[in-house]
Amino acid sequence: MAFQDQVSIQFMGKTYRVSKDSTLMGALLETGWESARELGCLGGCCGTCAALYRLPDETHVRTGLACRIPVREGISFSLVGCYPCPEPVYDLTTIDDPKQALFDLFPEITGCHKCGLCVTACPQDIDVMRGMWCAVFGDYVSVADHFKHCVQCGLCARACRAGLRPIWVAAYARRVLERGQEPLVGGQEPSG
Amino acid sequence: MSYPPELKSLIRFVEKTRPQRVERARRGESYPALTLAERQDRLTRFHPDYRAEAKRALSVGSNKGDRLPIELADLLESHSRLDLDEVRLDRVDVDTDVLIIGAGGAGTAAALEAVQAGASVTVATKLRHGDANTVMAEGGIQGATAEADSPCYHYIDAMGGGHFSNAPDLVEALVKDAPVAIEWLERLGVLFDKYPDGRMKVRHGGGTSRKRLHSCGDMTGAEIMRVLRDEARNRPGIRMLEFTPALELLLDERGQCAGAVLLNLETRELYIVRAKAVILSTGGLGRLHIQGFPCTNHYGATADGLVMAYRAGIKTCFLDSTQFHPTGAIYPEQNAGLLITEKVRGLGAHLLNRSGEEFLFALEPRDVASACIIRECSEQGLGVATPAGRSGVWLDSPMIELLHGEGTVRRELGAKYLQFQRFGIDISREPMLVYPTLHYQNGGLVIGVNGETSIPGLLAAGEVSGGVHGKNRLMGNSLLDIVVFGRRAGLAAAAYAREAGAPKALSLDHVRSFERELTEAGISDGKVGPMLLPNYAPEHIRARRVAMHVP
Ligand SMILES: Cc1cc2nc3c(=O)[nH]c(=O)nc-3n(C[C@H](O)[C@H](O)[C@H](O)COP(=O)(O)OP(=O)(O)OC[C@H]3O[C@@H](n4cnc5c(N)ncnc54)[C@H](O)[C@@H]3O)c2cc1C
Ligand code: SF4
Ligand code: SF4
Ligand code: FES
Repeated sequence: MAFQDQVSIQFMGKTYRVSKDSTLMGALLETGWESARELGCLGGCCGTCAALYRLPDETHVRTGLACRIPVREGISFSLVGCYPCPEPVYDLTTIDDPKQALFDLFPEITGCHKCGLCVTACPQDIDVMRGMWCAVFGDYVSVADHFKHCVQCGLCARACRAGLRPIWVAAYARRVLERGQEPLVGGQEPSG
Repeated sequence: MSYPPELKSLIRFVEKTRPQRVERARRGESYPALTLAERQDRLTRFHPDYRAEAKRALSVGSNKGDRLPIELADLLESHSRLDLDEVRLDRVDVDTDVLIIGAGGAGTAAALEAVQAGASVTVATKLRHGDANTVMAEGGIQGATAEADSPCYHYIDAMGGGHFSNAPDLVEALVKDAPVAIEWLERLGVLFDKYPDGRMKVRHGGGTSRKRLHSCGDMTGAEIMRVLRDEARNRPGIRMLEFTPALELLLDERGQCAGAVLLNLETRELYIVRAKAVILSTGGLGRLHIQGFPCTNHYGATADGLVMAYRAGIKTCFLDSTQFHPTGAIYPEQNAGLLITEKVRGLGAHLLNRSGEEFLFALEPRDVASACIIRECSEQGLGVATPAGRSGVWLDSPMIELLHGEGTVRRELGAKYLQFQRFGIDISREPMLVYPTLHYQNGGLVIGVNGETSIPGLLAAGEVSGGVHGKNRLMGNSLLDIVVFGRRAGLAAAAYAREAGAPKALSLDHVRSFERELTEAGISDGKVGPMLLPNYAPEHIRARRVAMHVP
């Protein structure tokens, strides 16, 4: 490959030259790197490839999905892997009071001090903080709406100093919401 | 990284024809569909499946003589990764009623049903639980739930889509179970799109005569997978082994399926699992990159289940036809191969050539649409070239805003919107560039209505199986397939495990005799399978690789 078609990137401290039209994950595969851990769909859907990266002209570290971030000259990054964020075990069919159960399952949720770091961390542009407060106030319809595009990458949980687990709060809220409704059959789109 | 000037100037042609096209669409007029004879012509001349030189005949196994894509044929005739004289089968690591291999949608649905039926369940999966094609499905899931619909129409559509080659009993099971399957998902907490009064929103997909595509925005598969995975984690009876793919099936002294040999990818240990029933749900083959096409599939879609089952003597069907999705992204280069869901066309977006003109009815069946796009870019010479040297056609997404109102693209196609916005392209204002991409394994292992195969105790469900969709699958029938047949296989496996006695002697003799067949056929190129992970290292790196661990 011609030199001008390549860029230099730094992965976990080591420099590689890779093709310039690649993503961080594409570049890794191109270097011969192999893993079953930090990649899955390669299409921005599964959230396995959470990454920390720094651009050459910036002084702060950004977060994103490695399979979706374009490479550029001087970018430096590492992969996060699975962030420790255990999921509580519950049986939906035995939950009578979903609002109380939320606090039993996620006691840390009231500790949110509205720093907003989770919002900055989310690669899917989700207002995670607002979503958490909607959950606290029992507005599960809004929680469901906020987290529609959550890929469960865990970057929000990693950012949170109060130890919140927004991924699992979102999954729980979405599931109890649907359970609360009677199953309905489909309808035709109203004509006109 | 928005469109470069040369592409921007071509977009003007699209914008020029747009007002008239929108007008016509509003009047309910569309580009004329091809006649059956024209369809056949386009398919034989342009569809990749019809290229004879891209296939070869199998020389061994139960499909000996069948012509399959070369990449797949090579893998089906590969050698075992195990040293058959070294593996110790007398030391059993896990004993279970039901072993499920592959935890995508089909495998997880099977696990939930099997555990509900009282079986002990072990699931072995190659990557993280749910890192699968299921999580990538965007457009939706079919099911005749609307007043104007019935399983009967659904049946006819599915058969028509498959050019009437589908197995009728499997299609009957698929369409009859469909409404119940949708309800099952709903009860587990899947949030389908609904009207404010609570009725389901249903839409058309390619080849449907009634609106029956249910969706969750454009993340239908992700939503289903999130919920199924969540439920599975909450069931203590399911034991999940992640990063632990299967390498071979095990049979027993009665010739029944009795477990599998697994590989712990992190420690490189082999595990022997003894089971009363085994379900294969390893998904598809996109990462074989048939004929060098880019693909939409996840990293682990490497046909492993086909390889293992073929060695055990299971017959396959329809593997000569692979589904190319007509609309894979080709720009920006970082998005190449990514799926642009059929929903975009379902919402009214036209496909246009370099001059901004329509050249096909947007909802032709996938194989026909793919062939037409390839024709437009080759014979007709009306493709649009990208800076990286790809060629494709426009998909006019901004039309959707004009037809359904401002904000529709962001609402209905949020995930896609984000994927392009990252590269400075706003798909509600600018069209996308697309070309066919390798998408789905139409065929697979021959199964019966409960997923049973010709080997007692071995079942299969999902993309690894074949017959449900015949030669060509319609959008939304595959998510349905994995739920319907995943559940059926789970129940059947649990029932089988209750009846069948525990296996005694585990054996790999079927692999030995397959190896003998390979030798007799003169195949000794040293290629091993299943593939497990695709190898994207460039040639110069591969050539210099050595195994790190010397015993
Ligand atoms: C981008 C995309 C969009 C799609 N959109 C739609 C849609 O809108 N509607 C629709 O109906 N269908 C759609 N499909 C098709 C549908 O999603 C899949 O066919 C279906 O989800 C397959 O489910 P599965 O459970 O059979 O396989 P998968 O979901 O792929 O799961 C297979 C699992 O098995 C694991 N595995 C593989 N090999 C091994 C091994 N050796 N040992 C152990 N585990 C193994 C894999 O890691 C994976 O987790 C789409 C597919 C793709 C790729
Ligand atoms: S909400 Fe959290 S887990 Fe979900 S996509 Fe955003 S950062 Fe990832
Ligand atoms: S990072 Fe944690 S504490 Fe900060 S806003 Fe988000 S949830 Fe609240
Ligand atoms: S690999 Fe799935 S989101 Fe990146």
